[in-house]
Amino acid sequence: MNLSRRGFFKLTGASFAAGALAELFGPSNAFAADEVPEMRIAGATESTSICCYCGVGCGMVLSVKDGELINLEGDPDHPINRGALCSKGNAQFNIRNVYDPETGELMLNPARTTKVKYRAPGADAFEEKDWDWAIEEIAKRIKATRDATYETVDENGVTVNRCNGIAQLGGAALDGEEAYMLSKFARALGVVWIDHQARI
Amino acid sequence: MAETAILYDSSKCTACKGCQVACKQWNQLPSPLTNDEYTYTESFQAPLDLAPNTWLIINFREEDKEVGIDWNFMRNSCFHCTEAACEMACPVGAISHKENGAVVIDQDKCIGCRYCVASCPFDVPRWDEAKNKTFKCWQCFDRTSAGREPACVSSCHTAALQFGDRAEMLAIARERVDQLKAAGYDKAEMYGEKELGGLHTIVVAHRGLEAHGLIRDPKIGLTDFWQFLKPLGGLGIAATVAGLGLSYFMARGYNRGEYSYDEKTDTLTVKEVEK
Amino acid sequence: MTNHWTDLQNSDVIMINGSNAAENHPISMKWVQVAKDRGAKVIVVDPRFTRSAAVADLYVPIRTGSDMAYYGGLFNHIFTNKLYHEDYLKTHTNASYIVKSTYSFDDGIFSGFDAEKKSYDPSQWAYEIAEEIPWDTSPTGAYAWVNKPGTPAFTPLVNKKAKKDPTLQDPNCVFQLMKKHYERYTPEVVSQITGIPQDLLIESYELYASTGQPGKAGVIMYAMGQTQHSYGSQNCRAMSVLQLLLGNIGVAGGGVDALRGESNVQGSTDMGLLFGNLPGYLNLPNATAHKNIAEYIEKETQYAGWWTNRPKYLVSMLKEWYGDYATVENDYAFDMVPKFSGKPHSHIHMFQEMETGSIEGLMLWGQNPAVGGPNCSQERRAMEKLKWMVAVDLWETETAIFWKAPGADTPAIDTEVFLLPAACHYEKQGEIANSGRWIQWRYKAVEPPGECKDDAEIISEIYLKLKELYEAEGGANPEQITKLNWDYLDDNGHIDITKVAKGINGYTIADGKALASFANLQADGSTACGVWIYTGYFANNDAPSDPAQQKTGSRDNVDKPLDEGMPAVGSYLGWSFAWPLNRRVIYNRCSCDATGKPYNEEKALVKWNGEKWLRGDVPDFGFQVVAGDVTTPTPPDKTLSFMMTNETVGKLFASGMKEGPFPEHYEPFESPVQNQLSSQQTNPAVSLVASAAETMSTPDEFPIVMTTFRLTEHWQTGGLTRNLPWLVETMPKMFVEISKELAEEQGIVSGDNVVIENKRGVITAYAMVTGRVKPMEIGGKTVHQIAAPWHWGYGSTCSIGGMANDLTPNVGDANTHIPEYKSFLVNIRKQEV
Repeated sequence: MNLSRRGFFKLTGASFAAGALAELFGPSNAFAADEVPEMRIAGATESTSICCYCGVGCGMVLSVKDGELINLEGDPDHPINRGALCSKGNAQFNIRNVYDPETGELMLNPARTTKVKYRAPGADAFEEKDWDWAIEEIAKRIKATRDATYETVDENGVTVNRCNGIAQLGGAALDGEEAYMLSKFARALGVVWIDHQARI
Repeated sequence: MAETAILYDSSKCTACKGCQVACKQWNQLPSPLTNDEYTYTESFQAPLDLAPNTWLIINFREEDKEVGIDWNFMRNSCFHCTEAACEMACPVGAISHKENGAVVIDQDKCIGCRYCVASCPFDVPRWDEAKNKTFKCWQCFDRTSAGREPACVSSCHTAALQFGDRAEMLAIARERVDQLKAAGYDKAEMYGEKELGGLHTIVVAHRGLEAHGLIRDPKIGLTDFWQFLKPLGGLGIAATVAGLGLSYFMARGYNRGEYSYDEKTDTLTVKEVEK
Repeated sequence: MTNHWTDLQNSDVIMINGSNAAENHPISMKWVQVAKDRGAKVIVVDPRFTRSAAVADLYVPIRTGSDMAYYGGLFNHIFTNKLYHEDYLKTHTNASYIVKSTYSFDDGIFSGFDAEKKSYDPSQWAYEIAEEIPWDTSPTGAYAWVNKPGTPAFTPLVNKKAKKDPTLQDPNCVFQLMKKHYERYTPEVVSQITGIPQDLLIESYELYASTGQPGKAGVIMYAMGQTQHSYGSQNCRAMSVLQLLLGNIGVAGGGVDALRGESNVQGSTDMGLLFGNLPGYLNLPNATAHKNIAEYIEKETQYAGWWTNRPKYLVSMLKEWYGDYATVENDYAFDMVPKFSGKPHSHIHMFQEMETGSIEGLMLWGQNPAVGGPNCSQERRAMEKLKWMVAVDLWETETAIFWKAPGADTPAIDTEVFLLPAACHYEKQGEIANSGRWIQWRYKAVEPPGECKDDAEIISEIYLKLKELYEAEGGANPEQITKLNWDYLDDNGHIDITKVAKGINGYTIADGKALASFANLQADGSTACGVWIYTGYFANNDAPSDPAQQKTGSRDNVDKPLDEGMPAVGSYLGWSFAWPLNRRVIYNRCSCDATGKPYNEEKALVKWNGEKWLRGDVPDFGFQVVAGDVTTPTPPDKTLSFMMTNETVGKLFASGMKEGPFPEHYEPFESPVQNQLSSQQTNPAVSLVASAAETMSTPDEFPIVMTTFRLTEHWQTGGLTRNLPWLVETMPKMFVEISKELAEEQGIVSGDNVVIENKRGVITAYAMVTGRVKPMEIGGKTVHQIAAPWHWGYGSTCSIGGMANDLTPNVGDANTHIPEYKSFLVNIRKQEV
């Protein structure tokens, strides 16, 4: 993604002159006498996003080096938050990565689920499966339930074309396009037990 | 060059702890990964104290009232003193002032002696036993060098935290105190203008210093610090380290105070700095 | 939100009531602080002293569940002291409308109540009609489109004009009826009900009512503290009515601002993920009311205002869903959309039904009802009846592992569970809509870890597999699945989100070009559009696959008005796209008087200059008519104040509510006191399922009032926070806030483990003894309130704890069926060691 095209700020000192802080300091480099440590995000690829928590919609900037997320902070250009984030917003980095308390090394958050898991009837643990198996098996379950619980015409003779045996919850944590797909997908199965976080 | 400072205005702080997490995020500070490693703090303040991996916390203090409470918040982190006890105490020159006033520990030089820990009037530096090094806020010197605000400041939404030219921060603080007094906060005070030669974290304490847990008229306790050393390592070690420390002070021509060390009584005395 | 976040800076008085903005929407306080710097005052009304209260000018402690009494008292204060905005009331509301004499109110009950069915006949609350005007469907008429070939046949509607008394003196006009209704809400009575000392009550009333002066603006920031009650919708009505009385809707710095608790809960609702809604707030067909498309259109289309266009949005949505298969001959595949029975299918009802075993499968997309649902141990038990569950999430949520919840008989639970690993928000791309309706794009920063996939890809893979199965094997109504338009794939068969975006935005079928405005949508099958209110967000045909060149991705953060000569008021029209049509403050016609003169010139949103409308924001009232090359400005007396209502004005009196046209105070389902305003204790139309009725906890056994809340440091059911070490460190353990007085009575000190229980469950938590909660004197009786966050559960390695929702009742609001999480009864005691 070409960030400069979107008028995005650069994170190096030299080109920061356009930012709000530069006005505070004036154009001269006030820190020349000290040995200046390089910021760890220098040279990283940046992209913008919006926070996943509340409905304020704060902007954030993510820095990626060697394909890995190394920094996440508020987007200084965003009109709502102007670079700020709350504790949750700042912690979004942890959704993917944490620092190992023993070594201090960056690592994937060990709580993150990264494999397809299946729990068989009565089992006391998940087992790992692959995607192809899971999609096939899930489609079979949906079809079996749909076919068994489908109602074409109700007791008054009205065409209802609904599936009474499947329920769906969720969507507020998804992107809008995904939520739209979900809405359309579930209705195309005939599902009427549809609700999500907005209700509760 | 101009000195810079962080300004913390308690009257604008919502205690969201954005700064607290932003500090950990930018400075790559780990937190424990398992449930059993955490304890209940009996407060919204968590963790209760600074630590080698926690360089900034928001303190919460409650004063009960007939309707509601006074909930007094305070940013607890390094004040970056001009007369920095930690710097004076460091026997190996690992702690230094940057020209903007930030007080920074050079981890390559730190030997983990904890003199800084003992000497700080604000109880800020924290020693990591496993690494045998001491850690604290460095005012994100890498960011400020690149013209950016420290992570905590850039994360603050209400401008309870600001960063810039120290004189300007003082002017803003002074004006804010006047505003707050006019609005009925008659105990509102500014902190950091003169304390310890001038701090590089200025505070507007809208309910007064004590309500926010600030130490009125802080002193460098080097004498106390020396007393602390004796039980730590015995005379031999203390003397050795003292040699390092004193030679460091002398070599550096530290000009913010006068020191004398009496080997017979094993005490270091410090002349008060004139204000 | 009628307004938006950066608009809070324009307020003169901000009332944070039923929300805790500083903790749950922290960055909103940036703009509250800007308003305060301008001299604005902040009132916080809350049972608990919160971090919002800590920065408020006035903190008003209220007994949980007594909001309606507080508002009723405020209405009475406004009427008694004539603090209403009279010009606004006459110009922009139904204050002058005459109501039929069949309307009445007696001892907590309105006319038209059927005690057996526990429901009202709202026709008793209708207006006197002065004139009926059939739609003009002639070739030059406003409704000529009805006769265009391809438009589904239906009977055109008749516009009904109500009788009015512009002097507001007729005893049956809305103004007089309302004034009379709230006379009973005296400061003495309201203080007794709410527990708010009278002087403090009056002080808050005077401060907020000061925004009724023309040119002043007050805003209400609310959230679940208002909605999560068995009369939550009426609390929302009350806020709207209050804002109409004071002239605070449609103006900069005003509004009824719902602070949405999830980043895209506005957007997911826009997309039709509630049982009764299709995308764009089109109601789901109901087998009782809408047997066919004609009946749907006739009953769902309004006779006046913008919703007269509803058939265009329905047909365009059907064209997007079923593509070429949808034709006028088959009613645009209307029957392919499932019709529900008309009975509520809400969250509460879903889990009640699940107990019977009739629901075999449950699909979860990032939702965790095992912790988040009301009476959630009931929900976990209901899940044991499922044959299968598909949970798509980032973590092993409590729901995904409900079969090994504490107390579960794991070997006896036969449910198969598929847990699919999802990508997080910065590992994929797409838009989300914030509370201010800003549709903002999120770019993908990194590849998902391990085998994680985008939800979009997972939905698509399951859909395509099902399509394949139905094409090969047949089954129940295969066309419903196989004929669905799924033209969203790239060359490799993977989902291309930008193609979905185009479908949502809408396009002309003939040339496939994206449309810039929903005014272009047609009912004749020539346009397709998934979500009409989003039209324009992804409409740049020159770069159809580049979000950065679409309105949703625009990043112009300079604040400037649409037309020169208007003030810049923080609208940021160049940043992203706000639905509808990039409008930032909706109902903005109401910022001007009848002649088009702004009530506040400095913060004007629109303005009539004698010839045309000058626009600061995107106007919301049919400000001009474009016909061919001719643009005709609409004069101020022909514009619409509230274009989404049949009346085209704001409604102080509304016949669409389940429990009456004026909000009335009732006690929560579980309350320690009697209703002091009528003998009707609870909402007469409350939504009650069997498992809620059976577990009602009564004050003789459970005298302590409990409420639930959220924290800055955690979020919802905790999956996205209790697994993040940096957040756990900032708030590590589940706790309950207890007053010093109650703690002393019970011998509890901070740090003790306490047991909280009622008929629904038992939980433990750490005690936090604090002056932030205090006992209240209610009708001469001391009422203790305790409060606990609901973020904890058993499913994290980093932080686990008691589930507050094991205690909350699954009783719902009469209109929305939102559970009454915010007020219920419990007992508390120190845990024996």
